[in-house]
Amino acid sequence: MYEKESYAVVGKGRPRVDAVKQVTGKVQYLCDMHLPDMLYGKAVYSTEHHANILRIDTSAAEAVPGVHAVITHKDIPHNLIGVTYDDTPVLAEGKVRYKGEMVAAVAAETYEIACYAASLVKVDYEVLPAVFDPREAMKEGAPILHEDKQGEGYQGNIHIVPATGGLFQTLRCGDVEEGFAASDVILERKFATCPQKPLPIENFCTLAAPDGNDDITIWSTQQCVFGNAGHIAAVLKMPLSRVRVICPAMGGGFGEKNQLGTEPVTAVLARKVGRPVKMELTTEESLMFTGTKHPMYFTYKLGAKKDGTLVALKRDCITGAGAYRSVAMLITMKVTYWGAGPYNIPNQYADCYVVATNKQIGAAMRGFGMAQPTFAMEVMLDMLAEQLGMDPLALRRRNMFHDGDHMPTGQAVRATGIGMVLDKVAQMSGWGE
Amino acid sequence: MDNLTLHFTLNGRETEVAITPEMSLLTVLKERLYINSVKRACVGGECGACTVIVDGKAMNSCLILAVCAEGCRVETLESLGTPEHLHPLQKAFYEMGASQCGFCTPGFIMSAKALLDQNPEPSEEEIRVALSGNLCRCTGYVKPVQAVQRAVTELKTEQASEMAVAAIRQAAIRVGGMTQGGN
Repeated sequence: MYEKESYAVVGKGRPRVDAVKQVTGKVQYLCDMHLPDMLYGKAVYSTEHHANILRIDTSAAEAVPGVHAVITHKDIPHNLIGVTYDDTPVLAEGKVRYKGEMVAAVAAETYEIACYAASLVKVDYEVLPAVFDPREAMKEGAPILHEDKQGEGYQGNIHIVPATGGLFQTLRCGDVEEGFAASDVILERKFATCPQKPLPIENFCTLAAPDGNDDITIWSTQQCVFGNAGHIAAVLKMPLSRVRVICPAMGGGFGEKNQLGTEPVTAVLARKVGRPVKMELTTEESLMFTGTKHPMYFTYKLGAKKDGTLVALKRDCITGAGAYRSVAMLITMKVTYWGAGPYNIPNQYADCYVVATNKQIGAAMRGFGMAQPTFAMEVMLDMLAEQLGMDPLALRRRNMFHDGDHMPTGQAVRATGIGMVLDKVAQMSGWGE
Repeated sequence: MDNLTLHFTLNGRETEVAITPEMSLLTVLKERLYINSVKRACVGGECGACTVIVDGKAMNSCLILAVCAEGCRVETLESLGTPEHLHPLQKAFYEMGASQCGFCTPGFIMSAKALLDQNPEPSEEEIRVALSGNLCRCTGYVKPVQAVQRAVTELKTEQASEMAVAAIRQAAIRVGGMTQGGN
């Protein structure tokens, strides 16, 4: 049924369609693009983790010969945007909530002039206490990041779930307490994952070119050109039909470039000066400004019979969203529904929180919320196998999904590959030999 | 503002370009000469995406002041093959799937080229050392190393057949000479 020979392409070596261009250096990435009359953009980044902005003085930067524009939040037509909730400013307004947040931006004749002028933008901060661990941020008395959105998007630092108005996303299936009572072995463990950085070699870069017809073309390192064109149009207060977003070729994205990066601020600069503007981040800027995989803190409690049959799983998750929501609610939704892995467990219970911290914004990265709970669940299974004196492979085979089984959400599973994957891994690793 | 003139050989061509003293070779190649294959990324000698060959040695062009390239021979990926006639290194990277997003690929190939120019039969370890200054975030390093190994084999075959052709040509000239002499 799955024989290699029956496929025309699967299992056969095929060169990439663009590989000849790649090996001859002809592929055009953003850093290879230039336009006549192009100016260079440079952002001013927050030097504080958490602070009130008392004053932004752009006069010295504006006085530098070769500088065409210096912008702050006042110049952004519509400043607050977001994937599922509009809490993210294009340029910080009133407050900064992480070190590396964009506060102002400059467009100038050369990159060097832009860097110099950006260094002259003076921002006076009133430093506030900061919180970095989402577990600390949930506690009473923790510094509050979004005091202006209490009861709307946040309660304290906890994000309010839009669908329910509650503070956590839930999964309920069967009765876990009955399940634990019927279990021979119960295992309870805590897990934490780190805020991993995707960091493709190519940094975020945008080239925005307004034209005489009031349209704007934006070439950018952007994985989600159509989805984000709408957000950019909203920022510019332009009809979507006048905003064109193009990703020419991408030097790695790994999910991180799903998010808006340099697009809104570069587009506003270009509109302001009426000339093309290019903003290319340095690696240092990418490290502080762009997203990380969300760090997560888990508690897993797993009950099983002596023969390895899984009976009950109770778990909770605290997702560190960083300073703004972005995709954190969607990522955590996947953790909530699918964090038990491809296994039949009749009784399940999960509560998953999303919490704001004074860190850079969490991003999509390689698996979109699946790597973190999979790590926790698979380690749980290895520990359970050890406790039961059972082969970890046999434990997984005993509980894995087959076609027609149901996920804890009630969804029927089809085309389940877990069995074939286990067979292949066992064969390739010489398991049991 | 451009108060200096840099003279150097770029891909075999004498080149003259107006620069400022603080410019790196990378900036001159990208912003003045619009060389497409050279990539700008970390600008700190960490990633190797801007690797070019300067007087036979693979170097990070972001770490070289442009003025230091005065009188030097600089080679970029543009000096190798064309899409119709790929250099054995390019052919091997293409066929082995040693590029994914392709952003680091020009740097990898130039590092490998500098190695093979010096050492036509490198060991796997020597290849790994030569590529150690080039970072890839997509495929990893197994395929680039295999691609260089394949190029080594191909270059040897190419060289052997070139030698055979030259020997036949020599023999033909000798025979021709004898025939002419006979007349």
